[in-house]
Amino acid sequence: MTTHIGIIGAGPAGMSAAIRLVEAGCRITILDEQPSPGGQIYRNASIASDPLITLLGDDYETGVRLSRKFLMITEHEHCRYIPNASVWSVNPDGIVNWIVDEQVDAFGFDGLIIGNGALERPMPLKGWTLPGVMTVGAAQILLKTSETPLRDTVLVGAGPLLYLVAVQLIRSGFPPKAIVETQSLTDLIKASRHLWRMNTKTLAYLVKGLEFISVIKKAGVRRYTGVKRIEIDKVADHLRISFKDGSRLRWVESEYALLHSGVVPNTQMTRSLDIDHRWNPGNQSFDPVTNQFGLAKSAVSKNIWLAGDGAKILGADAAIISGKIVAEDVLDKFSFTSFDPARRKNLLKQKDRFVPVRQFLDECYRPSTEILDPDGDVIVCRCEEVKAVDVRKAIALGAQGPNQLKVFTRCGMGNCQGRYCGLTVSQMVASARDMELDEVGYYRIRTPLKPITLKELSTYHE
Amino acid sequence: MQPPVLVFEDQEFNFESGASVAAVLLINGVCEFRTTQVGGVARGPYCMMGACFDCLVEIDGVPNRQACMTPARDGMRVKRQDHRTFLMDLGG
Repeated sequence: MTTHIGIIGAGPAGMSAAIRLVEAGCRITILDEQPSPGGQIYRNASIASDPLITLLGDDYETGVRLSRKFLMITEHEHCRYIPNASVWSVNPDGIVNWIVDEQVDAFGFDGLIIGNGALERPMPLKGWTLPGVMTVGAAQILLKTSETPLRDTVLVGAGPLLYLVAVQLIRSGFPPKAIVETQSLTDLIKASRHLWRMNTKTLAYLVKGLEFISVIKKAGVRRYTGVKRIEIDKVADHLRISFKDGSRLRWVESEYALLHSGVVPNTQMTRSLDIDHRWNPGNQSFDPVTNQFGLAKSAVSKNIWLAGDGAKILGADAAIISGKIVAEDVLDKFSFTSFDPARRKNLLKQKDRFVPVRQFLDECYRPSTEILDPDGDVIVCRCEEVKAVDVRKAIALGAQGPNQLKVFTRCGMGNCQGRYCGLTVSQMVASARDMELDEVGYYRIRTPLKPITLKELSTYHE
Repeated sequence: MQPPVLVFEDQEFNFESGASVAAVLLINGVCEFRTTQVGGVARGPYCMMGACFDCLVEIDGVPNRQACMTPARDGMRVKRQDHRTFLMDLGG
């Protein structure tokens, strides 16, 4: 039997890894949670209409080509592609458990590539749980899957994705009312020290960003930068987003508020596998630890590779390259004759080019302290409705870390299993106790990674 | 051919095949999908990618379904989920 590699996630990283491995003669099973490949960034790319592709821009077009190529290789007898599959458990001994349409199933693997992508950073601010308040990513998903732009929006937070979405909304004919940004000119000046290490290719990203800003300006969309004390309230049938702009208190009203303050690796699966994680102060996130080729560092889990934004936030273009790197490393590990060391080395060099861009963006669009370390009545844990003040009280009472805070307050114990409060809670402990984030750590994540009913579990056949 | 229809509470929404339940509701102006078990307050979709679990609704009598992860199907009956009533029912 040929080597069997499992791949979790058919985003840019998973798709590019799959293509290389199948072409090299490897047998693969690739699971993805969505009905069509692409991940969130290239969501629906293989079936998107031409006008939608034009509206979303040339980066999405890269995804269209990649997704179509991926679908072609899924025809191969060695490739098993399972869409609509939620992975609820990965066993370090080499078994993946998933669920499709209320049926559970499992497969064994010799090696596993996890390309499960990123989550939007939690943005705990007053009113972030109100209906109509969503992530910028959510609005993009709606656009990509239903070709429907949200009308009457205000964009809130920091990061280049705000500009991209603003431009997409402008092109759809529904420009946002305003963009309320937390980063300031000082951040931009500080970040510019990374510019000299960029080459023409990576500088092109910045040029594109400047183009977006000019489109936004031309469309007459008002940008407020360096704002503080953002609050969202429900007033009659719409949302009021109020904030401090310098010394002035301002507000804008809209039907929807779209939040974004960068993305962070989705570490639920890597944590459940006891892979080491380290605090990344640049992106303000916990990143799983790997070697340079993406092989995960863990005392218990062997032959697990991590690729794409789930390993480290570098964006879609870098994720495609990192998928190719891990595929090459898999070929090396399992002694495939098609392994090409020169190719792997060259790919590494290509991926490294994205590092200065990321360092620039990290510094320029650093999430605001208010969001990282919230206070007062702001809800920290959306599921269990635990407020910042409750978390602070529990820390003062002696809760030692994130896992004890669960017992004290129930934070992180709801349906999302801490995905949207974990980073906040760790940061709050670190600030209150003046500790390093690596010392504080994170929630202990256990199987099932997605809720599963007993009825569904009973469909399991050995 | 008749376009597919999803029934939400007592309203009927047409939709394009491939749309998720959450997308169909949002496009039709519905933002409030459920009320929470702790505070009894209204919630709607936040992430649209299966991570936040704030879009839970009752679909064809089955509670706690993720609206953003469930493709809309013709004749589907979707209801807002009141988590307090749901928990009380569980407790008998």
